[in-house]
Amino acid sequence: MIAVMRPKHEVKTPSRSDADPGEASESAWDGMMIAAQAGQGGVYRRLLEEVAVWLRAYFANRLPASMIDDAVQEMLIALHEKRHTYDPSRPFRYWLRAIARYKWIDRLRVMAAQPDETPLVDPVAGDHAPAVMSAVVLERLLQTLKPAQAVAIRLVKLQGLTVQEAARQTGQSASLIKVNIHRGLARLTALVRGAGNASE
Amino acid sequence: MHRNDTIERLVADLRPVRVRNWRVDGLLLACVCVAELLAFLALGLARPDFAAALAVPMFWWKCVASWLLAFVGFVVAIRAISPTHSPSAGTRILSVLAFAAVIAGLVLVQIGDLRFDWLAVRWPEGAKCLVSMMIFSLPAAACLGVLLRRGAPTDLAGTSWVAGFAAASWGALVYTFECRHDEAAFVLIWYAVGIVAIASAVRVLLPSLIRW
Repeated sequence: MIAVMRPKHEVKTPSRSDADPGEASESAWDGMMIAAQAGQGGVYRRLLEEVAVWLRAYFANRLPASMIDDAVQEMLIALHEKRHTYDPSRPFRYWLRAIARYKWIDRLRVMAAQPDETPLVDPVAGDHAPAVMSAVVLERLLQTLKPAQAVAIRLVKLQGLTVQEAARQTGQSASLIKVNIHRGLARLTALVRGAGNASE
Repeated sequence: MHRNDTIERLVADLRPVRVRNWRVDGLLLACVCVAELLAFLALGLARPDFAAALAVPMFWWKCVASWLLAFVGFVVAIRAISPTHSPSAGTRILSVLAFAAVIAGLVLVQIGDLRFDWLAVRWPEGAKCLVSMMIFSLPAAACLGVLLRRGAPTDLAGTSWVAGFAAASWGALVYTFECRHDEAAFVLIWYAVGIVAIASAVRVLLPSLIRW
């Protein structure tokens, strides 16, 4: 079912950040990571700086702007701690993208566990493009949810209403609003994870 | 912390690493499993009528089915240690194999004109079966837990389930050398219940231990 739904509910919007890194970078990152595994600090620094730029663009399409810096730092630390799991015989981009997706899904999981906090899209941003792209991606995902769940997430997470205000507006109880947000975000997480597994 | 500070900290912390090799992980797991089986035999825990059991079809069903499920499960779990491998496809294969094993057992009952005697289920003996399988699955489960914690699995729930299923199947295999029950109903019910129960417990407990 997920395989049938994927074309309609494609999470990613076309962007340079989602395209593979330029061909020159692609093979360069493979070699740089191998050198980093051997302990070459200078090469490792350059790799992290270039990967950080790619990560920033990756998360800009998937997370609120207020979360991007933390997500990038968390990713760099994960990349460092798990660098021994990179297989030098395979392209670096697959490994990087797999870890980035894992961290992104983990962020969604944390957000689902805290339905009252953290709007999914920042109401005001200096550069509106990332917020707009996030909203577009999110809207596509919301269409896959039950109406009650989608309404709860739109009101609280997108429009910034409190749980009580959303409850008054929808006629649902505050508890039900929280439950619908939690289940809706969990469902989105499962969809994203399932779409990723199907693409492997 | 500013991102450049993070990068500088990580660069300062850089050390050469030994790249993970799935063959080494598999060899380590195999050594743990074989050591457990040898220790089990050396302690004289094997059933006293072992020679006679070799002529019983259900004994071979227990051995072959458990070994097959354990082997496939271990392969899937080891591969899932890498962030680029998902256990989804392997889990489907494992499910098909488990179903086929049950069907094979039922066919064996028909072909061998064996009795499917519900009275043979024997709850106290079944409970002992579950406890023994759990104990015998612990070394493999612990080894997989250590390997997964050192690795970077990206599907914690799926990988935990497969790891638990594989460890439980291995525990069932070791237990076949002790278990004196070859009745079809007892074997098909308690071995299936034991494997699913242990796999479910690992599925609940392991993700929080291997999250990164």
